[in-house]
Amino acid sequence: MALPRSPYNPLTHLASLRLTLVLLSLSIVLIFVGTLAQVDHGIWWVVEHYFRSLYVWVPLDVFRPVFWPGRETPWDVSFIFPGGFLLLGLLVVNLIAAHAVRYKVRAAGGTLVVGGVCLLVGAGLYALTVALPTLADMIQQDVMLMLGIWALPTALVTAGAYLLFGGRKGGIVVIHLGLILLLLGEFVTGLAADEGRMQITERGSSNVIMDVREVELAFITPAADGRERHVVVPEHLLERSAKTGEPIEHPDLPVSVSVDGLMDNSELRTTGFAGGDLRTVDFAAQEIDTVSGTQADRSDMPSAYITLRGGGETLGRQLVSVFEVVRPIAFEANGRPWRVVLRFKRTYLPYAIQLHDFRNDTFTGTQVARNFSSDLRVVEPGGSAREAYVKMNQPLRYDGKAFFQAGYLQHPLNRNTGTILQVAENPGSWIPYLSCVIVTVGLCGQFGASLFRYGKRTAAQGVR
Amino acid sequence: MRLSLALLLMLVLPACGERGGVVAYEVAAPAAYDWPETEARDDAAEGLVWTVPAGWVAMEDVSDGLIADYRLPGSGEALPGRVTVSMIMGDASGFDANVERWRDQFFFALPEDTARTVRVSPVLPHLLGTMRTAELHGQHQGAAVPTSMLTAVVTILDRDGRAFATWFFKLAGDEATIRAAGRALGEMAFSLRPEGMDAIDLSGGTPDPAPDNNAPDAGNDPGTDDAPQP
Repeated sequence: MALPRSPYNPLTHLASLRLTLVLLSLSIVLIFVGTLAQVDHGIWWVVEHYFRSLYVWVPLDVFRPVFWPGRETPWDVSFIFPGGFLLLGLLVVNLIAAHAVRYKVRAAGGTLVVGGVCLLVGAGLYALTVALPTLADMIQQDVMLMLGIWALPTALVTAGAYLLFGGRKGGIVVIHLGLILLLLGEFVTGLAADEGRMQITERGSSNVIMDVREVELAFITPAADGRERHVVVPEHLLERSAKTGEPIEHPDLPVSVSVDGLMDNSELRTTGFAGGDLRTVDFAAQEIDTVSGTQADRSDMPSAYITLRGGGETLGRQLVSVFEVVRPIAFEANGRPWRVVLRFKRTYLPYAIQLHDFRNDTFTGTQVARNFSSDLRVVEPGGSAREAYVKMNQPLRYDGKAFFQAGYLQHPLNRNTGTILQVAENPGSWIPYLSCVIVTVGLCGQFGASLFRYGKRTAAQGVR
Repeated sequence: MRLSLALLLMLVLPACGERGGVVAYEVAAPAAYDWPETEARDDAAEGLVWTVPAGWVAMEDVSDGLIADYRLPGSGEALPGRVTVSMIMGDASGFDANVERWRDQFFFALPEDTARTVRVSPVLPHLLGTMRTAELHGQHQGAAVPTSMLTAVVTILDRDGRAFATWFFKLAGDEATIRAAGRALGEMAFSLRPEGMDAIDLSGGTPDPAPDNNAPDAGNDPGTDDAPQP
């Protein structure tokens, strides 16, 4: 059943072991330069540009140590390098091609049918375990339960592989299945996973997840029944307007907006003071270096200068910033009051999460943190509620999201505390676990079979 | 080969997709926290009693140095108000020195304009001595958002007119919280009285604990006419 290994068959080249080694070597280099790049850039920037891309321009500066004289003057020389997605994709193709060329289905007749059925039923059961919300939740909450649920499909897949490919190669096929799943899992995570942060003060409530890696420009106006209408311009449109100077126009926007300058990270200084309190202070923003991967406890604070135009009039060049002390721009258009803010990208949940109590336990007699925990309540629009307790490494899983205890807030003035939850949504979060299970079974099967054959051979020699 | 190409395209094409444009949506405020309903009641410490306004929730774990700690209802994104009660024997360095200390804790954008953001009341008569209030609007050191603080300072005088003890009723939150709860804080401070004594009827009104005077030293005049007489 294997395809012919001929130099004229392109699959032969794609299946090359040399290609595997080259791709693995390039992956190691990519990880190395990606790690070095975190000296100058944030972790998420590096992940997006180096690992979740098809190619990357690597500046030679990454190889200059921070103490190197003159490092502050960039060399402005870069070289192109394959990105993480390209290398992963080629590795998957390489692995599949290797199977198509080198691995021959040895089974025939009834064995072929039984092996095929085992493989298909096993794969179907895997799909069932991750598709049913109840089982999917159980898988992620308890390792032993996960192993128990996956025991039957793993046994079926392993049996199918051994029946189809024989005792010598069955284990390797199982290992490769696990590896392919692992590689594909990174694509699912890279393309579909989402992450954000939710902040709730004690005895407060929130339904907003903020992504501090991305900003958006929001035009907000009151709507009926105490609701608010938000018209949101995403970051990539702001960047495009900043580059080209073209105004952003849309039927939902009350005015057109041009971005005169977008700063990835900024600091504020005061330029004027018109009235009696902080609300009347004028600020100016100045671009500063983005937060690097070595400053994990900080995040970039973007600002932008924008010009709003509507009805032939302009509101002038104004500052918007994620710094909350910068006042929203207020104006009226079509008889409605609007305010404009630059904010971290928001996702509104249909339900709210309330914080009863946040506890910061320390080891007795010290200030060393022992545990952070939050007593939460999830309130659905209909009024139904679910109580939850979240602590470090024990997240709340709800609505396909995991709410992890990430930190806490304490207001410096009134000492009110609050909780910071890291909210992760990753439809492929189960894939690495399943890959590990399959690879482990494959390794045990392959080495076990070799050991068995070795023992048998030695016993036979002993008899002779 | 076809399989390989199909797989490669399947993996690469989603990454090249067009990103979203301008979006519009409506949002509602999150369901408010189920705040426990409390009625006005008396709290006591150090032989004195004060009346806690309805709706304020007393915290069980009170930090060292505080006598009482109350939380005010607030929404998720606003800064919920907090009221603390503390007491220091003597004059606690005096009212003006305390205002200066609080002022130093605030960032006021431009230092020369700090006076505009600090408002103090005249000296008001109190059952146990005198009372003054200080209101500060600015940005507290380390805070990311504008913050406000209103403190009612009750100085208990002995028979010789010297300060025997000083009680601080401090309300902190955003400006809206101060506006909404400022009068209730003033009434709580006015209600400070010896244990066993009935609460003073404040239905006739109390002086505004944060009068609209901008000068920090404008409050040295003795009492106002509409203050409850001891």
